[in-house]
Amino acid sequence: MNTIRKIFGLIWILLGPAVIYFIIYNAVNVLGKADKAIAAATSEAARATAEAGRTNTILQWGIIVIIFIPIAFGLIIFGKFALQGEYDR
Amino acid sequence: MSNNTKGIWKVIGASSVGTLIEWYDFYIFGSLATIISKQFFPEDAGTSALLSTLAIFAAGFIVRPFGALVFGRLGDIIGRKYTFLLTLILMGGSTFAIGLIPGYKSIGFAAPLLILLLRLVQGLALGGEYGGAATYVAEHSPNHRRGFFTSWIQTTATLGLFLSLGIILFTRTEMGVEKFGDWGWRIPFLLSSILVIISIYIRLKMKESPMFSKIKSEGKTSSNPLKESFVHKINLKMVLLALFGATMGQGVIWYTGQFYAQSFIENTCKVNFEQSRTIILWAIVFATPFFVVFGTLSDKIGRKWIMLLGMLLGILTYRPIYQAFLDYTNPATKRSLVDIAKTHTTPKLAVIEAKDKTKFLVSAVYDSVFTDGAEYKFTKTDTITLKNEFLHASDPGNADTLLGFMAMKKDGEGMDTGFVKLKSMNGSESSVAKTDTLFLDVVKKSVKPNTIIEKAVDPHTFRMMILLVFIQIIYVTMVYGPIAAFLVELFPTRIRYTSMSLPYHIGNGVFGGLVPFLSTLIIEYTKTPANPAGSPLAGLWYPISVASVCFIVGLLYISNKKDYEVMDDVNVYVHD
Repeated sequence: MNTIRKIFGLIWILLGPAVIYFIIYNAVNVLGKADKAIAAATSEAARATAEAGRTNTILQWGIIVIIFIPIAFGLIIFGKFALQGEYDR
Repeated sequence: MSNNTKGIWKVIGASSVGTLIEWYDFYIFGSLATIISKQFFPEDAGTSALLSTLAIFAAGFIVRPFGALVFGRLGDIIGRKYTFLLTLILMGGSTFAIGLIPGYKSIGFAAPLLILLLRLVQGLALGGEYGGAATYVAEHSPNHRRGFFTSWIQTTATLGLFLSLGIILFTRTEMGVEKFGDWGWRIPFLLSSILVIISIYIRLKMKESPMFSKIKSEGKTSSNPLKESFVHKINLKMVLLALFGATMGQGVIWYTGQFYAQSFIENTCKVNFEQSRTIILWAIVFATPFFVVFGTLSDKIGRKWIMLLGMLLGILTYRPIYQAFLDYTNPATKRSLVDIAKTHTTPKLAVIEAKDKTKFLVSAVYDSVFTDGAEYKFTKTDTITLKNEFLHASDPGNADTLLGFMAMKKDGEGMDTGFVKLKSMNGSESSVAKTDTLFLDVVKKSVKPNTIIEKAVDPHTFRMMILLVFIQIIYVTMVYGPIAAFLVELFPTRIRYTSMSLPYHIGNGVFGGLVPFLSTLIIEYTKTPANPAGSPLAGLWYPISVASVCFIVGLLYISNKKDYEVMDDVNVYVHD
């Protein structure tokens, strides 16, 4: 069982950067889409809507990035402890 | 702690009332988010206003971990009693103040800024409250019964939600929708001050926790609880275990079973305001005793397996449960007939721009009453722009098929007529709601039509929906009932308040509190031109994924030991 705990420790270590990559990739991706929507706007009203959408996107993903990246680092540390056998019985 | 339980109910009562009020204060904001967005944000902002409020709502959750750090530290240095007295005053004061702030129309951008500030104070206060109350009760509880006694504190979050929904529903029903939306929404906020004053009075009479008093008199309190909790490896590893192996999963199960369920029933299933809340209220009434049941059971068989089973059941059954919500409220699957005598359609055709007589607001209300008692109301509105100036409109009275009848001037060549038709409404066809207004060539442009659907479900569906929410709240009671005792037993007395508060509030505030926000965001990403509504069940992948990771971590790394001595410095959940 302790071996499984250590193997999973490695998985948590790898999951941390994967989560960080996933969050940043999505944040950049949705911001790009929001920029395209502004560029594609044909009227003032459509442009205002697209700009409001971009602001919301920045807000949403700003929250997600700021909050979840430190937690992902916590997961890496947790994985390191597990790999070192800190939780072994 | 001795096995003497004398005075324990007074301790539980005083702690629980205060904590319940704090949860109430916190949830009325969330429950009234839509109204608050209209009151405090620019009227033309629409979705932006709602999202801003949601962001503030989210901010209220996100600052909770910071409240846990600030007040947890205070609680471990000066004591539990005065710290959670302070959090109660801050929470009550900020809630009362929200009820007094003038709207955007009166004070402009100061209104949303003040709301944001007060919401942050609420979040900070709540971050400090729960850990203090749970620690306080646990430190008064006898060994072997800690799960039972702390489970009473665990009922307060759900009962706080119950109280907030109940008071909002009662006020809204008594005042009427219009008055409530105008100023009546302030009443639940102002009412909080009375509850807080009573609670402060009760808490002032309480004594300090005996365990904390003991280590304080011995000079063993921590001088730097933050450093000791999060820098020292022996405690940091337990903080991380508590977060990733327990509170993270518990948080998403809690918020999915109650908050997301209500949001899904109201916004996706389109069940009306009153029924969507009443369903949650009944489910809470039936499920709340199970917090104590599972708390007690955890004293006998240990905390671990109860919490993990709750998570596992959520992981396995959320999708079928939410699919059942959709099936029960889908008009296409209804077997009962439409009661023709009670069903009617009200068409309207109105000029919306006095200066530009080519633009119209077209609206129609379809009210389908079924023989089983269900009533589905569709209000469809659309703006249409005609090629030529409008001259005349009349309602020919053929309500089922003809919305309006217009006469147009056709390029100066005389009169022409155009019909605005809607698909025949027979009540049992959900496709009606999706049917766009169809125009002949007299229409130059149509703005995206807007359909508001309000369903009053039949009694059988209503009962089944209560059952489905009840099942989810049972999962909540399984993960949440024993968790206070679990967290308390994980950390030593000198840094307990700080150490248990942070993982609790990251798990609940961040992972749990953001369930409605992130799930809605995921559904947005599934929307395509071919499927403009998106996949309604996609949002569940967020709580399912988080609970799955937490389940594996808990399964592998948490021990199921019981009979814990909380004065021990060596943790029992990892070491044999």
